[in-house]
Amino acid sequence: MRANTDTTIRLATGKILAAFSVTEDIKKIRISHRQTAECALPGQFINIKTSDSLFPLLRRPFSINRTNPAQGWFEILFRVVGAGTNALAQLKIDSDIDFVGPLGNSFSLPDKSQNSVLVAGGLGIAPLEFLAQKLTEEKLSAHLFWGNQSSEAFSYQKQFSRLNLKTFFATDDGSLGFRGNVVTLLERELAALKDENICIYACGPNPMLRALQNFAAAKNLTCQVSLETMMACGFGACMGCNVEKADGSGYFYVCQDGPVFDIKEIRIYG
Amino acid sequence: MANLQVSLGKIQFSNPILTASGTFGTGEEFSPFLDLNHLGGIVTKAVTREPRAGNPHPRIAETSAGMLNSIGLANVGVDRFIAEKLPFLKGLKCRVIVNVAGKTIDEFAEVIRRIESAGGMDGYEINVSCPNVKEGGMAFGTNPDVTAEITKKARQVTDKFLTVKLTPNVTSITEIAIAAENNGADALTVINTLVGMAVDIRSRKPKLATITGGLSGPAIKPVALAKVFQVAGAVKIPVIASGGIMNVKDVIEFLITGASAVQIGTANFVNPKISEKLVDDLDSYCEEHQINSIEEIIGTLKLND
Repeated sequence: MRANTDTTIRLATGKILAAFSVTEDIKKIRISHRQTAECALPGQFINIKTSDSLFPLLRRPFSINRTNPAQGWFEILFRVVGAGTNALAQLKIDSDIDFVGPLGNSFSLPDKSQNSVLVAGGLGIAPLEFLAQKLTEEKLSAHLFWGNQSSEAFSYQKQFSRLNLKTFFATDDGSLGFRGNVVTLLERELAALKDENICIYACGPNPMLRALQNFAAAKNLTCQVSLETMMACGFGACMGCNVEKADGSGYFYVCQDGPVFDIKEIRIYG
Repeated sequence: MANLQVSLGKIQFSNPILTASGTFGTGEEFSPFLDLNHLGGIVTKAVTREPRAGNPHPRIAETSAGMLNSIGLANVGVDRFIAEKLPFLKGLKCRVIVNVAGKTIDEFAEVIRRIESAGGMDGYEINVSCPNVKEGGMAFGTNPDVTAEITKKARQVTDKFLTVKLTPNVTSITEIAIAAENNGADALTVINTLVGMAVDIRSRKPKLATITGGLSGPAIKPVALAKVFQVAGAVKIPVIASGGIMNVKDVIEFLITGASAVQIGTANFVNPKISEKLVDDLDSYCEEHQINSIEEIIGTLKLND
C-alpha cells in the first residue's frame, strides 16, 4: 500500500458535469475538479456533503471510480441506499458539490512480472475500475472477477471496453456467468491458469473478503483490499472508522491507514 | 474589527471560538484546512496515562441532526503525546488546552504532572464526563465528591487554567459544577455528550458495538443551552459552552445565555473549516450589530421578572 504523503487534501467545491443511471439504484456522477482529477490515486476516496440540511448531517465517503485529468473531471459510482446517497442522486447537473479529498492511501501497483487479479463484489467495482484504468495506462493487463446478486448490474460492463481487462462474471442466481460466489469462481479459474505470480486487488462485502482472506492465506497469495466503513471526518480526527489488526494489538483507521490494506494485516468479520 | 478577546479568569483567548475535545485531534489534522492560530484555542483529544486502543467497531452512527460516538478515549498515552504531539502544539500561537482523562482518581493529576514536567500547555480540561468507558469517565462526573477530589488533586499539580468538563447525564448538573468550583476549577465546560442509542431494524442489533454511545451535534443544542443557563446561574467561574454549535447564531445564543467561550465539536466533521469561519462570522456579526467588544453580550439574557 502506498501511504498518503500528499499535501493536496482539501475542502473543495466541484461541479456536477453529468449523471448516469446504471440501474434503477446504481448511479454514476461525473464531477469537475481539475486538481482532484490530476492527483487522485486508485484506492483514494472523497467525503461528500450530500445536502445542506441537518439530516443527513455527516459527509459520505465514496471511492474515486475513474479520472480524466486532461478534461479535469472524475467519477464516483454508488448505490442509493439511504438518506445520503438519496440526496446525492437528486443533485442536478451544474450544481456545486462540496467534498473533502482526495483522502486515504492507494493501491500499490504490481511488479511488471506480476499478473493483476481484480476481485469485486457488487459496487466493490468502484475503486477497482480506477485501478484498472491506471494498469491500462501503464500498458498492463488484468483479470477482473466480478460478482453480483443478479445480472442487472452487468449492463455496466460496457465501461470496461476502454480497459485492458479479461473479465469473469458470477451471479448468485446464475443469470449471468458463473452461478455462485466470485471467490469460488476465482479459485476455479486460478487453478486453470496455474499462475502463482499474481497480485490480488479486492473490494466488496465482508463475507466475500473473508472468503478471499482464507483463499489468499491458503495459497500464499498477496492481496490488497479496499475497505468501506462508516466514518465522520475522513482524515483521522473522529477515530470512528477503526478496523481490528490481525495480531490483536489494536486498531487501524480506514481513513488514514487505509482504505487499502494488506488482507493479512486485518480482521474481517461477517 | 471588533474586539473578540475574552477573559476566562487567569487566561485570555483572542476570541471565544475553541474546538471541542475528540473532534479536532491535536489540531494538526486540521492544518490543511485552516490557520489554527486564528482560533481562540484548541482542546486536544483526551490524553490518558497509558495508551488506549479504544472501543470495538462500529464506533459511530448517524442520528437525526446528530451522531452517536463510542470511541472510548483511544489515544497514544501521555508519554507518546509528549514526545509526538507536544512539539507541534507548542509552536501554535493560539491557546492549547489538553483534555485529560483517567481510570482512577489519581491518574488525572499524574497526566497533568507529566505534561507540566515537559513544559506544560496553556491549560487542562478534566474529562469526568466521557460516557464510553467502563472505568472512570462519566462514572466520576456524576458524583460530586469524586469530581471534587479529582479537581482538587489536579489543582495541586498545576497553577494553569483548569476547566472541568461536565456531563449532562445527571439529575443536578449544578451540584457537580459547584463541587468543581469549590475545589479549584477556573472554568466549567458544559456539556459533554448525552447517552444515546440507535438500532438497525434489519439486523435488530444496536448500531454501536458498545450498545450506547454519546450523542452530539445540533440535536443536543437545546439541552446544552439549558445546562449552560443552569450552571452559569449557579457558579461564579466562567462557563465554556459545548453542544451542537453549527453557526454564528448558535455562538451568540450561548454567549447571551452566559457562556464566556464556546467549543465547536461535531461541526468540524461536517465542515473542517467551520471553526475559523465562525471567528470571521463573529467579527462580522459584531460589526453589523455595533458591538465593540464581544464580552458586552455575555450573560445578557433578558428574563421576565
